[in-house]
Amino acid sequence: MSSKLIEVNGLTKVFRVGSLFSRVRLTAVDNVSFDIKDADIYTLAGESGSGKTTVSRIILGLLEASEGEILYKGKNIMNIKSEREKKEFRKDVQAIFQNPFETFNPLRTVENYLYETQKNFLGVDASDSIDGIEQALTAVGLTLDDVKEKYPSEFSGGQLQRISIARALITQPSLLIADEPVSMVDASLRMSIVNLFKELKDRYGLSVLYITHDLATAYYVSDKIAIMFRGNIVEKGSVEKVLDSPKHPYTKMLKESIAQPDPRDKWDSRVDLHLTEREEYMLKGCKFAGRCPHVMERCRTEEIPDFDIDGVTVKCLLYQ
Amino acid sequence: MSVLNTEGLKAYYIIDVLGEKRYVRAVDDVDLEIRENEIYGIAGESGCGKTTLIKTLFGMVEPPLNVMDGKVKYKMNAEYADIFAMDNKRMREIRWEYISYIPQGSMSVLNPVQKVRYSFEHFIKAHRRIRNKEEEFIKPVERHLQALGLPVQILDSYPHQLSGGMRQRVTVALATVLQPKIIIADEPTTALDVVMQRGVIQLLKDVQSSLKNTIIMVTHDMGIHANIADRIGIMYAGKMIEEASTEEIFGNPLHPYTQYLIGSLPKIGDKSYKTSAPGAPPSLINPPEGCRFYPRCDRATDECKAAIPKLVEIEPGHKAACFLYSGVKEDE
Amino acid sequence: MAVLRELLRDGKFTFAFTVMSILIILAILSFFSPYDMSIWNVVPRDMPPSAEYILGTNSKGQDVFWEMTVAIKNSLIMAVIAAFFSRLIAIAVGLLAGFKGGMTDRTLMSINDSFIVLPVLPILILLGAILKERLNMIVLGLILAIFGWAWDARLIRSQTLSLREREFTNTAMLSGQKVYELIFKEYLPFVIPIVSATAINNMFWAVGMEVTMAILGLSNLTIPTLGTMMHWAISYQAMLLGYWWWIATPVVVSVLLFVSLYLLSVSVSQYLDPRTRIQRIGTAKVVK
Repeated sequence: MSSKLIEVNGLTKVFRVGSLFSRVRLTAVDNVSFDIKDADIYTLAGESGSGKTTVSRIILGLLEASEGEILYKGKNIMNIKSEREKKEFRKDVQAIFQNPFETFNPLRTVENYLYETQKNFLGVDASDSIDGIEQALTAVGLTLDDVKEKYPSEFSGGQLQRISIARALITQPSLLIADEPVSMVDASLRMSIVNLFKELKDRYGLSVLYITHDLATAYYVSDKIAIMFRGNIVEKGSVEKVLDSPKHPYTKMLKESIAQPDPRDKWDSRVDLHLTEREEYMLKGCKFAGRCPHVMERCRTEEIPDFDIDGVTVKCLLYQ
Repeated sequence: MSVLNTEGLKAYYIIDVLGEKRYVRAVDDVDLEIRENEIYGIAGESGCGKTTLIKTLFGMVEPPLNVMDGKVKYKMNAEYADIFAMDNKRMREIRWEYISYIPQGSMSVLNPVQKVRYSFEHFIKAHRRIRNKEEEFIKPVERHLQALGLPVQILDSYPHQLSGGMRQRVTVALATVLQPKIIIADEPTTALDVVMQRGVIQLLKDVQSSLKNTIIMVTHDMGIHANIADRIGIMYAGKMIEEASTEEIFGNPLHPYTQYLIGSLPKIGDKSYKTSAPGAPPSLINPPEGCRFYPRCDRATDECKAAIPKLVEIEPGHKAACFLYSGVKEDE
Repeated sequence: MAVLRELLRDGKFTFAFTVMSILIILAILSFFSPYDMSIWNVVPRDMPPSAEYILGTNSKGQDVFWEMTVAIKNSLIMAVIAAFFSRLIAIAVGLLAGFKGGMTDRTLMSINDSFIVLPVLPILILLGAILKERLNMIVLGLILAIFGWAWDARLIRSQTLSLREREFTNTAMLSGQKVYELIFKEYLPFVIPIVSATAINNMFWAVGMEVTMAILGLSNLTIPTLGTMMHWAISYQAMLLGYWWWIATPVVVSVLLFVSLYLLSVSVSQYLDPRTRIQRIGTAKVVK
């Protein structure tokens, strides 16, 4: 039984939006809990506005949570005050971002980021040793000569995403947070990035928090998945269980809506489209109640608890 | 019967960087024959020239884009007319009436500070003389929206009050209100959530089956192509490298690039190992000589480096540009 | 050097660069002036241009050519001081306000906005009247610097605000960069183009202000500058008396200075624009 690497408990983030006079509280992340084990690829999936990116930013310390705790190796990282501990955490938890063309400053050569990461976290100057950098680049299938003295505009999206991963690997992290890492990468290169996560997991025991809207790559690469909808995790469990036989009506609809790349598997039914995002956030009870085919009166009024059913956790009264 | 043809179409971007001219060969020698009553999908990755190709098909050629060579012909009144030989006035007349365009972002079509009704009115007035507003404008538009399953109330809302998916569907409604023979859609589903994507695709399909017209649809999302297209053309580095029916492209891809592309698509319920093509797409400023794909192709021969394979019919209705199947070269 | 060679491909820049070089050479020549410009009547008065006095002499009994060289030197020094110090303030305020945000931003921007709405000319006239003889070129440059930073600080702030939202800021933080490293390494390259383009505009403005004040008789008239040259020529009725060389010299030099500063600012900002820079960085061979 592997131990928990990171444990997120009751994470909540409230944004205040609108003008000075008509402030509205928007709960972008609502009481979210999940945990990632060592050498695990965990997917946080959902549509835009589901709160998945907000969760990742809070874990990385780029945003402050309104409520809840994040335990990393048993220690609550929300209470970290000292610079030294912050650095220690950042060394252990690294991230890559959605748009590879924006990941690096277009006016600086990319190698700079590799040298800086090594210097700032490991205290090793590039003039003394570049072994760590070369190792990290080798892990993603590149060499230092490939990136030397080059600017971001000289690479393709796939290459930049590899360099971005290499940079994150230099500190030898335990957890890599990948926010939509392939959505801007070309289809023909996409799988090479996704395969990289599997390799890194197998070879170095790296855990990955994979944040995506793409259920197909999530199914391919991950061990566990949590489906987010309007700030809630509506269903979580092993990826096969959740996606092969979805339980929550939202997960079912999401899976059916995917355009499968197979002409023999075209959509045969029709969809109804929904209220605007803001209205759904404002719903009490289940946020999916407005579109759910199985909606009951209680769904609209009650706080919906989580139910465990054959190894999957579902936020739906149908499974009470 | 083809409704739109291109012959040896070349459209390059000419970029002047401090006195130094660079040519970006975004569309390089493309021959197309798009039929009546079909949905033709153009697939390819970013920077392969697919957006430039449809801009050129629509006659939207503005510097730095230049048409270097070739023709684009529309079939009008049983005759083929070269659009680059038309004057601006004629082009304005046929745009939206004969051929219309659905852009990637809907906001560039809808006026953000006016109600949706205004966009429709503006649009129709540019093409039709309206004497009786109620009979000739309001009723047909409402009928059109109802036929597409959109609520009529959206006419009285501002674009920002609608969700992204609804805006995109309004754009589709706007582009089809004059019942064009050809609709060009540029990544109409990108940046939309999957459920919304499905709504937009559903709408496009409905439009096509009721108007019996032609849709040219560009997207990098092979799932969308599988669901909507009748035929698919695969573009790579400014060239069309394969063209066949959707079933053939997915079931029997010929070109090594297409094989990689189809083979690497992940599906739910399938955990088998998938790989990508090695390397990265070439720069369009100085693409490799010979076949554009040979540096990434594991079946490349010396011939591939020396000459460019021509897109020719390999099996009935299935064209590919690859020396594995035919020795026909592009004459250059 | 390579930068200069690339810039010289631009006709506008070549022209402006040539004119500017000539003006700078003239300014340097002033150090070899045979006359002391504070002393009057060292040469015959009101002589038209000749081999001996290239640009003639004026009614004060001074050689117009040598007076011009000193005037160019003084005007340029003043403009450079004004531009340099106003840039320092603008960069510091703009980066700090944009990066820190919140209270710091609001405080700095309210000071900034006060400077934007201050009526500069009346204040300068007042200061000129008070300081008069004590007003040398360095003091004038510094005064203009105090009034010349506010717009550009706002520009730099908004640039920084947008940079802070870009993904590479997060990459830099995850690479362990400290705040000052982030600002200097990541943001300054984007800010420098604004700074250098506006620096030239600022010089332009400073020279114009000096000319305005001098013509109104509100600066230290004992120091030769382009403005004071015009002032003396006007007050001695040079135009009326037909001493065209005296009035034409500062006017032509000012026009050349303005035009070349303008063209420099246009072509330099075009060159330094991050977008065109990125295009250039991706160096590829020319086809055809």
